[in-house]
Amino acid sequence: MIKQFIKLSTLCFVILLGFTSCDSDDQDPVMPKGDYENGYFVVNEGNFGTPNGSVTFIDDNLLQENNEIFQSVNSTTLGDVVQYITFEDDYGFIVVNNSNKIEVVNRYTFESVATITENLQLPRYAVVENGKLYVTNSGTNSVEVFDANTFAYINSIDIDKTVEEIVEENDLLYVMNASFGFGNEITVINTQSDTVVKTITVGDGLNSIEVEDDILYALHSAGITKVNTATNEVIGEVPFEDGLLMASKLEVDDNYIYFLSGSKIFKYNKDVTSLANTELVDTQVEDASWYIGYGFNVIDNKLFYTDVKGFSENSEVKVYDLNGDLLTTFNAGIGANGVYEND
Amino acid sequence: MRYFITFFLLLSGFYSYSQLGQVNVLDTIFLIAEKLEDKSVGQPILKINKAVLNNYRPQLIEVLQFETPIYFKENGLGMVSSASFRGTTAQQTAVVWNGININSTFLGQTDFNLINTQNVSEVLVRPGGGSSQFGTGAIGGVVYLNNTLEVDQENSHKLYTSFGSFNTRNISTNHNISGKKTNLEIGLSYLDSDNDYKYLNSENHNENGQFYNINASLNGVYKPNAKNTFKLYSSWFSSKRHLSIVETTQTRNKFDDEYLRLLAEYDYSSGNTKSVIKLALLNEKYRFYPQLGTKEGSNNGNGFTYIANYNYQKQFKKVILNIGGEYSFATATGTNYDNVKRNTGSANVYLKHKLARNFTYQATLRAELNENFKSPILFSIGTSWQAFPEYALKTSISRNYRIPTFNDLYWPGAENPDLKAESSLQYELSNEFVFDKFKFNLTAFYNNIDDLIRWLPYSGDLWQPINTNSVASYGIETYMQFAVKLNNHNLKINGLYSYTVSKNKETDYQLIYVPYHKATLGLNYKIKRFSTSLNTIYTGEVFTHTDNNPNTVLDDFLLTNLSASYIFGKKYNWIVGSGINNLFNSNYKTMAYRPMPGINYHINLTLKL
Repeated sequence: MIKQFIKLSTLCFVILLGFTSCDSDDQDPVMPKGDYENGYFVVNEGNFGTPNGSVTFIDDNLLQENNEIFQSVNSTTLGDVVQYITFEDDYGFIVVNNSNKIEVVNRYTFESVATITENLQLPRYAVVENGKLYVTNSGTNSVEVFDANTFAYINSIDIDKTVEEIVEENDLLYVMNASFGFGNEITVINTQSDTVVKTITVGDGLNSIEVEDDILYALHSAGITKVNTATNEVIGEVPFEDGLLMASKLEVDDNYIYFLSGSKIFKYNKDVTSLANTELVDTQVEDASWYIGYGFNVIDNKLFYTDVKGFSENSEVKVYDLNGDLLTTFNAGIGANGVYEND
Repeated sequence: MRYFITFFLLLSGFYSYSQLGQVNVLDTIFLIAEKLEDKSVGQPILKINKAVLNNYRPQLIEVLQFETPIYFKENGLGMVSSASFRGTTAQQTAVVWNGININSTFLGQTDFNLINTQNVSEVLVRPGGGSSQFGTGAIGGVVYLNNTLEVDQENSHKLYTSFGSFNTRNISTNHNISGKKTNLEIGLSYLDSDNDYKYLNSENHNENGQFYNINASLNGVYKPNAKNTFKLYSSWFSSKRHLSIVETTQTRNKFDDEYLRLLAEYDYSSGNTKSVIKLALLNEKYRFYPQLGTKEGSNNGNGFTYIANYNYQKQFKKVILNIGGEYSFATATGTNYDNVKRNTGSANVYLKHKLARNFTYQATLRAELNENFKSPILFSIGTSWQAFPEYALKTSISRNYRIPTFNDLYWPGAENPDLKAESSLQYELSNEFVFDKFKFNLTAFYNNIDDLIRWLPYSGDLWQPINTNSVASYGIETYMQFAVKLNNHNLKINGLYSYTVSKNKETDYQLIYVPYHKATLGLNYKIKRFSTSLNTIYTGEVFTHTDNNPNTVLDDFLLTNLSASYIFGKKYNWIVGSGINNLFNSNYKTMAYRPMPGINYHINLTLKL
């Protein structure tokens, strides 16, 4: 009897629970903001001179990819050399290099919101800080500033040097003055006054920069230079050990430093004093050296490595866990150069 | 595919009606080795005469698109273009001007929008290998621009003006002044277009596509007696061309090209020997302006090629033997060339032998010394067996090559010192049927190309050449010509169909921008002073991704031009003509994301004295 009661009550409880949860859903709905709310965006450059740049969406469960999402939502091509995407508030800012523009989209639906073209000449990277959108403009060697909500042009900050990657930390911007293996400087901009406050010199062949926990990491041909972002003084050098060459695509995530050398992914504890030539994993991608390691990002404890297949067919995105075990692969567009999270 | 079947039915239809009418078909019977036709035993030639050239816009690309199996990629009308002949790459079609290979030393190819047809007498197209005769690039085939210079001709003067859609203007004037021992040809041509055509099914139009070009040519022959002949050929071409953009926000740029070609020739004939000395100068200049209105960031190149060539020919009863040598010096300066130089010496032997009344063969051998590369020994063997009066069986085997260009070798940041010459070994078999009014040709070919040099893009706008995998190209080509004359009615029909497989041997994928199918059909009808032409081409779909991704193919298309003209006047001829291009408003592309114009029109007026 008691057993039966328990069974019955369990049944009732389960039923009740079911109803309750339904109830709670009905009363407090979490409406999806759009098809692309949770997941990763792959930026595909496309062929130079051709408007076949695109964005691929991968859902956060790594189940499937969705190619050319800008085209399918807005029924128009995205542009020529899609270089980068950055997010702020409800917006995604897509930097389209050879189209001289930034497409502003709703980051959840990918519907086009605005197109920024004023003063843009071969834009490369962008970041939002203090309600302003900062764009490195390689055609004029300057940083162009726009209102991140009205998209109106505000002003230009002349750098008079190569401008490439741009990152923000504590109201400061760090602009990498190097590209294609040439250059060794980083310009620091104060976003209150929009003026250059300092130039930091790091190693030659500066390739990429990252900020994590008040430290700016700069990957160059001899190793990694660390800069304290409070003082903007160099605080350390972490050299490569013998044999490590052509390092690129620095990523710093949690307590680890990652970068590529060709088909290999390297991983180190943040506090190492030198960088051993021992890879975490070799992706085994075979291609001419200039295609290898075209895109690499660390997001959500996953490593995303892109294989651009010579820009002559669609790219493949390889996803690894932090131990270097291959989880899955996806198809993306022509020339996938980076993967970004919609968070 | 639907179009293709229609075409094939049409072709077979014409074939069965072959017994009608009258046509003069050119055939090589005498043992001579003067012209290209004479030196092409074993290989068919497509001959495009002046009348056919005049039926198309003055850039060489259009006439070849409509009259040959060559596929052309074009970045929009009049923009940068390149050829794929028998499934080969842009550098594997040799363009030869009066015997001299004029492919760019920078790019190894010719932009067929930058060759004007108004100042040449005829264009000959010979599919298949020709490196042992014309050097680098003659792998897919040879496009031969010919100025026939004959003494003792009638004087003629011609003025042609044309106006068409997109504010396209063309003026050309040609003069032929001949004496008993001389002939002077003067030609001047100007072409100008806003080229701002609307894209079909789109709000956009072709932006920044305007261009103009001028071509001046002066050719002369002086033949004081039967033994001595002096010839001088010259051509100057200048083009200013904006490069159309794919999006209105893009930076507007432009490209200037200039070519000067000079060739002096002296022939000495005595008995059955003949000596020919040729001296040539080729100059090509370009300047690219990445942004309009400023020279800043522009880059340029200026290349000179000097050629000295000597050939000695002796004729025996049934044999012609020719031995020759050539020295060429090529140099270039410019933004990306630090006074680079290349010396090339070559020796060649040519033999033509009429072995039997109905069997002729030819053999060529060419060895080359080049300071930059080891070149393979080039050869070709061609045979022609006239089995029946109406049927000939021809075969050809040849080794051909394409040497790396200055860009392949010296482009800053893209140097690849390990580059090798591309080389190809090819075989073809050709069946030629010639009836009274009908000529039909069926050719099968196989072409193996190793060490293909391909420029592949990397990192934004940077590219680099590499020797990639081998390619096997094979297929069939059929040509047919039919002509009938009934009282005052003249009808000419010509058509071709080609099936081309061009496979990357490692991946087994078809090369990009090589259609499997291409067919053309031309109808020309003439009655008294009125004539009209209808020309159609069918181009099958092409892949644009190397993995033959079906989602990114360019669709097949059918393109039709219609033209008509009427001749007025008695002493002088006034010819009034008009034409409709892309009659059925087909929305087509030959290059991804580069729409071509829809239906468009032109009218023209010719004065002939």
